[in-house]
Amino acid sequence: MSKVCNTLFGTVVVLLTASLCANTAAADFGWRSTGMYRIKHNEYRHGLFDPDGGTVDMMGLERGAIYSLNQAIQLELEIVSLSMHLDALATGLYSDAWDDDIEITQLYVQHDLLDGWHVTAGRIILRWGTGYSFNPTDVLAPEKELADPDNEEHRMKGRDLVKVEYFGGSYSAAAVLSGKVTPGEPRIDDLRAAFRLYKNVLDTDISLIASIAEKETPLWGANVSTVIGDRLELHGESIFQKGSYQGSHRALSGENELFNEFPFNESQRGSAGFYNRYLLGLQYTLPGNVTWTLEYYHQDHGYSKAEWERLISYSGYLDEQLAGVSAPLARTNMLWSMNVFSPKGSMRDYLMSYMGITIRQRHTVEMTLLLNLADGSCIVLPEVHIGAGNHLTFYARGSILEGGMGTEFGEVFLAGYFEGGVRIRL
Amino acid sequence: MYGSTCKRDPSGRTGTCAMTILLALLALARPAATGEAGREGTAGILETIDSFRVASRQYLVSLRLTSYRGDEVRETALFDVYVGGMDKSLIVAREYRTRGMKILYSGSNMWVHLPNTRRPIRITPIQRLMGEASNGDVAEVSFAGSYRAAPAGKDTVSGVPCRILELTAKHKAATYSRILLWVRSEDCRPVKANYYLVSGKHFKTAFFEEYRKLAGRVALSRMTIHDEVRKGRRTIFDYLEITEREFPAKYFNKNYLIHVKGM
Repeated sequence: MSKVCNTLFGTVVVLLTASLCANTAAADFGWRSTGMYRIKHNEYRHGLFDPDGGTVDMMGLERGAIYSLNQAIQLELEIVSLSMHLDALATGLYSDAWDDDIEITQLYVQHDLLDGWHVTAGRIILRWGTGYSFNPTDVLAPEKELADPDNEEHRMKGRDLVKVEYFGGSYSAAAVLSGKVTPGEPRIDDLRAAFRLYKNVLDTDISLIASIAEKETPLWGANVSTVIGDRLELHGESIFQKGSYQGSHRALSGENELFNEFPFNESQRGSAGFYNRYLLGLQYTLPGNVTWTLEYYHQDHGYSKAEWERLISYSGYLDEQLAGVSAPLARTNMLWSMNVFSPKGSMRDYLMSYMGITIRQRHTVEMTLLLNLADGSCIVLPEVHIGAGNHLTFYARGSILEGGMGTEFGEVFLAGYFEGGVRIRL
Repeated sequence: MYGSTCKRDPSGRTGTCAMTILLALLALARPAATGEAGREGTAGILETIDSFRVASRQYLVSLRLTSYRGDEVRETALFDVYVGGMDKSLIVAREYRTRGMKILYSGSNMWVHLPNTRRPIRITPIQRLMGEASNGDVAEVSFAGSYRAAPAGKDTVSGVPCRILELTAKHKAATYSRILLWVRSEDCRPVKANYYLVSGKHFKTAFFEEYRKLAGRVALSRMTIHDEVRKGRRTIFDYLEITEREFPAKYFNKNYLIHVKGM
């Protein structure tokens, strides 16, 4: 609970929650529980920057089986026009010892005002995009904490914000203020305002999005989605910003230091040019409940193939120079870069293809491919779900990272993983 | 004009509408001379037919689906359907393998919101909900809103004299491109429907089997949809309870879906 109280809105949330709880006799209450119990095995490999495989041990990553127990609980409480929503996740991981954590991923109160006005305050996961693999217009989406070794579930956590939204029949308008306070310090960090105007025009969903943040130029974007015929859905997103705030390796801006405590800078921040990120996608429903999704994603500020090769060469040079002295640091520098940025796309052009087949209404077989169009490296994610009744699902999934030497997904030291488990929904 | 003469007796007592249908369809057969009147008449017939399934006003219906493979029950589910007029409805899964799932149908648009996700996504009406039930079978509550009618002859179904209407989709998002609809000659009550895909394939057959008083009027209480492609599969729709209620417009806004209580 202390995590919640340490936020700008925590106090408001707690007060409103207490108010709700004081009136529970008149409340409408709902809950949902999801338990996930699984075993996972990571497969590592040697690579250009990790020829002896020492990095895995140095970073404290597990080589053996990882057992995990996850229990998520969602609560909804509604009194007249005021409602509260809580999502909490308890996680227990075991490899050679138990490691547990409890996190509140969402906690917010919502007040329905007259004539379609809504006010929401608290920790909320906001998703505004229309794509599946990438969402450039999710200006307030939580970051996937992929680089956090404690985040085996790749879970998301909401942002602390206040949202005012008006809902009409076929349109809505939202204004959001997000920020975080540090206890005892009279300042608000990461302050950001965002706006969305949505309207359905000619059976097409259109959202216009803008975002303003401290020390950043504004973001301007839009997303659309529509259905053509019986089976085809089309969607797209695009966002522009003057200058870029994406981290770029210092080596690319001529800072050829052997090692730097923080190897990234925002080299394009002062650029007068506009940087664009966009996604174009389709979803097609084939006969037999087969769904196929195809998406193309481009980001101007990703590494070009030449920049990537330069980065690889520089890191190789570092590795050679520091051999026997502090090689692990140089390797970690590079590996950390790839592990943090690669899953979100560190280069410019990607293609995602997904196919899912539903069998007998309750079992699914899925296959996802994420392809780096510059170097041909890819991630393949096969997944199978076997449903047993309305509450129980057995599943198995894997991840295979493939690519040649020096490619983005070919050099990530995690070659892939396999996991299997059971999910119980109540 | 024809619609008014084909209105059901509100008490549920059957009346003769065969002549009304005939007049309306004859009018349709002369489009150059009476095109407007014909369209008006056809719409009136479909509204009369719809009145056995839904009312044009707003209401909440509790719907149970039971899916069979042969004689074996494969799955059961319970849904709340919020009907906001002829072209708007919101389905909330109360007892289902994806409890809390919501499907919104507004005009020719459909969206789904799954629990544990934070945004609704667009779907096509053909995407299957459960068993032989497409989303559109549950959410598309009105023939009049999505189809045009034309005469297609007479027939007898289980000894009941029927008129046959050929329904063709008015907009791209209608669940089916063509429907052959058998309605009881005496009161326009739906008896049977054949559903066809764009390809012309006979996809499903629906039997409107039971009617009873719901919310003070005679309305459809049981319908069975048979899969014509995979024989032996069927889904029974039981309309358990209808409560007349007014819903605010925001209930049928896709961005509001995440706020509708679904647990």
